[in-house]
Amino acid sequence: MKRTTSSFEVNGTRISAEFDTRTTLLDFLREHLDLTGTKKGCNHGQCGACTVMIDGQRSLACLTLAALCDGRSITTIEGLANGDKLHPVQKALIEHDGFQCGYCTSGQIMSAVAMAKEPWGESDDEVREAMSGNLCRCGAYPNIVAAVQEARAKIAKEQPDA
Amino acid sequence: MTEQTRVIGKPVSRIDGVLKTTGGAHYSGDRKSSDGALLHGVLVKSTVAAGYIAGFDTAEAKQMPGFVRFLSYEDGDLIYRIDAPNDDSFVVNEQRTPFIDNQVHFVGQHIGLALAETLEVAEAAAAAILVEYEEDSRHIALDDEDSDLDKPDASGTGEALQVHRGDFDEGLADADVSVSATYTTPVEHHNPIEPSATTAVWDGDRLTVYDATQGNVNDRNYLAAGTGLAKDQVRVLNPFIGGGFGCKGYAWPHSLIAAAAARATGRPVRLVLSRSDMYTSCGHRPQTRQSITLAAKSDGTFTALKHETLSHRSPIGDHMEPCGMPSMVLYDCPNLVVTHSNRVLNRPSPTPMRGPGEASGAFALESAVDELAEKLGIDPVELRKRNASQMDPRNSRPWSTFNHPECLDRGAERIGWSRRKSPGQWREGNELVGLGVATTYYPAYRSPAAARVTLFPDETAKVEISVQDIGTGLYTILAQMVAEKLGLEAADVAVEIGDTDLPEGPLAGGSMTTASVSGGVAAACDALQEKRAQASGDEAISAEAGSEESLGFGGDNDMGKSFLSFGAIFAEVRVDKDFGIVRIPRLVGVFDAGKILNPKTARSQMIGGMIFGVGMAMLEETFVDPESGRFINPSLGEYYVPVNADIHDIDVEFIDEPDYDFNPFGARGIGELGTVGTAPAIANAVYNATGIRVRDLPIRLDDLM
Repeated sequence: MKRTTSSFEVNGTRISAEFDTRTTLLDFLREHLDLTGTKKGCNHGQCGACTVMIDGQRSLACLTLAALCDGRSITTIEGLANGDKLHPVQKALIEHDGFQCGYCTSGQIMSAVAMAKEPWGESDDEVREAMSGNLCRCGAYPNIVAAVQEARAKIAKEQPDA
Repeated sequence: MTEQTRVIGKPVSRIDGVLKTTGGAHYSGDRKSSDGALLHGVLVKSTVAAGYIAGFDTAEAKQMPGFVRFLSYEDGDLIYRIDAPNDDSFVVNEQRTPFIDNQVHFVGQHIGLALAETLEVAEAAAAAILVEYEEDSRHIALDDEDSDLDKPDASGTGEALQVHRGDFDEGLADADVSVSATYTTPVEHHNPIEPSATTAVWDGDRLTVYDATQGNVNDRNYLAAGTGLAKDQVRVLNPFIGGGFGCKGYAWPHSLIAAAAARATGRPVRLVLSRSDMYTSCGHRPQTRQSITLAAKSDGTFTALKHETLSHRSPIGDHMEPCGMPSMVLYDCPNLVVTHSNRVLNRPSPTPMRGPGEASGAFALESAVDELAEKLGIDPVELRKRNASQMDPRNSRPWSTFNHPECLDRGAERIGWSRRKSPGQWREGNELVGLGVATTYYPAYRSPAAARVTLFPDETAKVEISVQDIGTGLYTILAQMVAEKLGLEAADVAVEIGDTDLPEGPLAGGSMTTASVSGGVAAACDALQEKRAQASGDEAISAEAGSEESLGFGGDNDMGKSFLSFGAIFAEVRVDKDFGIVRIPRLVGVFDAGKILNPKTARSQMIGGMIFGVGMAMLEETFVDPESGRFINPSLGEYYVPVNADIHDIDVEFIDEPDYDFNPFGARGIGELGTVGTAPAIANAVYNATGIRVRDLPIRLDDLM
């Protein structure tokens, strides 16, 4: 068993840790930092439940070795709200009932937040395509699309240059 | 209760919404390991379908730093022998006690558990353990005639499975037109995004288990039996469950293995199933082959129906997929034969999956009705209305509410049924367009449930029941129920569920939780109101009450009515005429499910149920290697479930007629109703678009090229 040391920023906090070289970012977040909002659905990059942002880009934490995150900045679901003030995507998801069991929800939200900054078009079909890496077995897709559309419009209005 | 409601029937947003959108909802695999004592377990599974374990080679695993222990049948009395199904305190679909002997019954059976200080080491250790087997002959194929064949008398819900009504041959002779066909459905897996997970913690002779289960009371009783404890020494906690769809319904061996491992090591143990573990550890919808003969007079009146099902069970399991159920209840047909046979195969144990029997059976029956309509030259909506059972054909009792024809009419209007053309005749550019319909239904079940309700001096309340919200919205529904009864707002009611130390409620299965808790919550609220009238208002007051009522199982009750929800599903499909690609731009579902307590969460549940049916129709199949008996595609990369881009407009309408005979809030269950009729509606639409009848699910490109 080989061990390694890495430093990175998680939700704005600087972390330095020593861990098994085999540790994925997903297991590091969950087992070492107790940030369990990021979920393990398949551990193979097939379901999207572990989606986090690395340097602002959506990434699958289960396919990312923690050791490769050295020097990078990671945002998880726990770091999204500003205190009690929910991010527009979180708010819209509640309003539009964009989840049922809630297990894929962290990944859906992180994906949607990242996608709002990606060059997608305005149509519902673009959202469906952009969000298709995040499986929802409860079948909340139409509500997720409605929520993402509302949140995207709100974000664009608040941050016209973003 | 009067029909005027204040909180019930309103589109209240989920009260657990903030927790679920901020990462604050803790699921069973999320328990904190801050004290460092937690051990991680990883399963070792059989790689042969039948035989005996001759030995384990654990030498390499034992050299790994952080490896703690390997457990298997060699650890002897680790687990108490469970005498299920003789112990009626719990239900399992796999009767064998895990680790009880060295026999192997299917590929993927749990034969050992590697325990280590970290997940990485436990995974590496489990992979390094070598197993030697003495293989036995195995039975894999549905038509393997050398293996045993059961003909069970009754389903898990008490429904008769071998039914003869009238005289089938006479009915067939009386008919002007008939259709006979065989329909097949494949093995399908529930694939909730949360894999099953168990964290077991011992404190002296008390066991606490955080378990991803749809039935915490059932799970507790199973764990008590397997650990030799009294029920009140075991506590199961499951405040949040990441979906189940049936695979977390009954209790499964991995929960008991985790509990036994924690006892053996004196340490808390967490066992999170891998995605591939999920394919062999907690059931699947079994493969079915269904033969149907349906006959009618030239005016469409059904004269004879035969529905024969062949499915399979494991050597250590007892599930039978009751596909003939829709044929027993949906239509008036004086001459009926329904049979069910179950082949015993060396394949993992099946279990109920969303609409068990109803969904697979409705695909066959509702396809056959469509085929008959075509042959008769009668509109399929009209043919269904003409034959819709006005009373329960099993016992001639009236339905508690009956809107089957109205659901068909409303759905036809919403989808624009009048646009429908003859098969293959509607072309738009390169696409063939078609419309299809199917009846959907689900029996209404109700189980005993108790509840405790507390009212505080500040006019807030709390309700406590040992039930679970698997994503249906039960947290919110319970708050609405109590708010309605006590004159509060839903936001004023705290809901505590997912803890077996609370008053007992039902398992989240059979679409029965809401209907079941209705009785207990209403009774507890009524008892509280009596106390409230005499109370000073300065102190919290509390009341606990329950309802022992059980309804719907076996279709029998002493109320002189039958309880069942009907609906209609309509699909529009567009098929690329060169490549056979099917798109589903629109699905319409109209449902009569009693009073809808929360139209927001109910609509979501129906949409989700219909999407589950889209998967069944178009995508889902677990392949079985006919030689080894192995599941070939146990991952979300190779087992396809619908993704966002597969889903377009889904339109839901409720009849919303309260069924106060069924429970005090007038609701029937809705968890499975959306799924049941969706696959046949899509298959019928594909036929209407292309003129090609697909009788084997899922529908594939090559079926249509």
